[in-house]
Parts: sequence; structure tokens; C-alpha cells
Amino acid sequence: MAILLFRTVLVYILIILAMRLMGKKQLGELQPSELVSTILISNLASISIESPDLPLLGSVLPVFVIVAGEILVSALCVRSRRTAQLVSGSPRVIVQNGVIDQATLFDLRFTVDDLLEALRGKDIFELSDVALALVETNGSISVQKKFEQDTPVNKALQILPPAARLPSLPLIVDGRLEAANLRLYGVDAAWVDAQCRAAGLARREVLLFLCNDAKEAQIIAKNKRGG
Amino acid sequence: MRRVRIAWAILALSILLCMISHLTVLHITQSVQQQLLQARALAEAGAYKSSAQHLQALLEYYDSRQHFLELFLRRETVAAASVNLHGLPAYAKDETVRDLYSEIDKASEQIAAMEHLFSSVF
Repeated sequence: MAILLFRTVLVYILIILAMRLMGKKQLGELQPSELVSTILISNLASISIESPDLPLLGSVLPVFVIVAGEILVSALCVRSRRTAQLVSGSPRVIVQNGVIDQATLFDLRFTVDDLLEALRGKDIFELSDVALALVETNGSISVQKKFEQDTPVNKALQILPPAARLPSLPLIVDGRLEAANLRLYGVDAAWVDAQCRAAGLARREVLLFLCNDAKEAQIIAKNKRGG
Repeated sequence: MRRVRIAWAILALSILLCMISHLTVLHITQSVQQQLLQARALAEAGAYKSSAQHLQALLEYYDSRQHFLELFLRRETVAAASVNLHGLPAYAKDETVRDLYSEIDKASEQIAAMEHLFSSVF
């Protein structure tokens, strides 16, 4: 059993190493260690299903060890930036002031087409519009547009804020109160019921009750069955 | 922090299970091998009845421990060893003593292989 654990840890480290060697492009949205855990867990889980003559403990125990390892590695990454960099790598700059860093692009094995595709995905069709583009540790690309090309914000346009600062959240879904949202917006069930009564509805007749922090409510009644 | 504590608990439990499994498997396999050697020694001394009784006792011991082995080892391997061990007492006679030696060696090798499979890394 210790050998099984040793092999699990060994395979875990080796796959992390392999994923790090493969680079960011293969990773998609997950961090390397998360991807490794996902792959290993899915395979280990299938072993016990596919091979009933193998003891269940032989696949369940490694799965839990991987989960424990993943939690401990992520906790260690939070405490130590160096460990985080070792496990997940660091973001890499690939475009600066509209100029592609070809060495980094080559190093990450991104083609120019990959880069342009990622920029188009962010509604940027001119490379010269990019102030800074980074490949994040999970393989996604973050882009900062140049000042002249950037979308102005409300503050710059001096637009006055609306009464509601926070978005509408559901206080009733399918006749049931959402306690966490009631607390967030400082209202209680009595206030919600009063709003429902004002709309000529009982709580159980409400499909969706939306409310923002300015206490502006929108109530959607359930359709009558067969109606 | 709660998850980190759970993770440490899982690791501690895993290590404990490892130790239990190693002690269990090694104890059972070594015990079986020792009993096989004793049965062979008795047969070599011409005490075939004692050898057969010893093998019968070994079978009872293995049957009572088989479910522990199946917790940690492939059931097919554990069952194959059981099948081989069950045939041994029938050979504990003067006319089939050479077959008994051969079968005991085979069973002993199988138990050793089981132990090796359990503790091999690569």
C-alpha cells in the first residue's frame, strides 16, 4: 500500500512536470496541478469501476491522497510565492506596445495565428491597439488596450451613478426565499411578502423576485398550471 | 484552513492504512510460506499424515485470512493462490511425495510473487 501511495505521488509529480514541460498552451483554463489532479482522479475512479477484481481501496485511497495533495499544494502556493511559481509558472508578456515578443511567443510555442485569434476573441482586430498582452499561468491571454483605443469608463465620461449600485439579485426563486440575498440587501421576509402582496401575489405564487440594493423590485408571477 | 486540516487527516489516515496493509500482507504471506516449509520438512521426514494435517491447518489459516488479503491485493491473485494451496494435502502420501515437493515449491513461489507484487515499485 505504501508502494501504491509512492507510485501515486510519483505519477502526480511526473504528470505535473510533463504538463509544465508541455507549456501553457495545453492547459486551457486550469492551473497545471489542478489539471493533473483532474486527469489522475478521473482515471483512478474509472479503474475501480472497470476492474472489479482490484480492491476498491486501491483506487479510492490514491484519489484521496491526490485531493489531499492538491489542497496542500494550493495552501502552500498561497503561503509561498516561489512554490506557486514552481507549480503554476508565471505570466509571460507576449505583446508590448503593439510589438510581439517573438522569443517568448516561440518559447511558449504560440503561433502568430493563435495570438491574433486570442486578440480577436477580446474584440481587438489591430495588433497596434495592444498596450500589453500576457499569457496567464492557466494558458488564457489577458490584454490591456492602449489608452487611445481603450473603452472610456463612467468616471471619465462623468456619468452620474444610478440609485442602485449593486445588481438585482433573486430574493424569491420558485416561491422560496433566498436567505443569503435577503441579508446582503438588508431586507427581511416581511418586506418581501409586503412587496408580493402589493403586486397581488402570495409568496408561493412568485416565480422570481428580483431586487437591487436601492430596493427596486421586479416580480415575475408563476404561470397558472394549464393556463 | 478546515480543508487543509482535512487534507492532513487524509494523509495521516492513508499512511496508517499503508502500515496496516503492509503488516497484514507480509504477516500472512510469510506465515503461509513458513507453514509450507514445515509441511515439506515433515514430508521429507516421512511423516505424511502430520504433513497432511499441517497443510490442512494451513488451508484453514489461509481461508480465514483471505478476505484481509483481498482488501489490499487483486482478488484474482489471492484466489489463484487459494486454489493451489487447496490441492496440496492430497499429495501428502509416499507415492506422490515428489509431486508434493513440486506443488509446495510452486505454491511457495506463488505466495512469494504475491508478496513481491504487493511491494514492488516499478
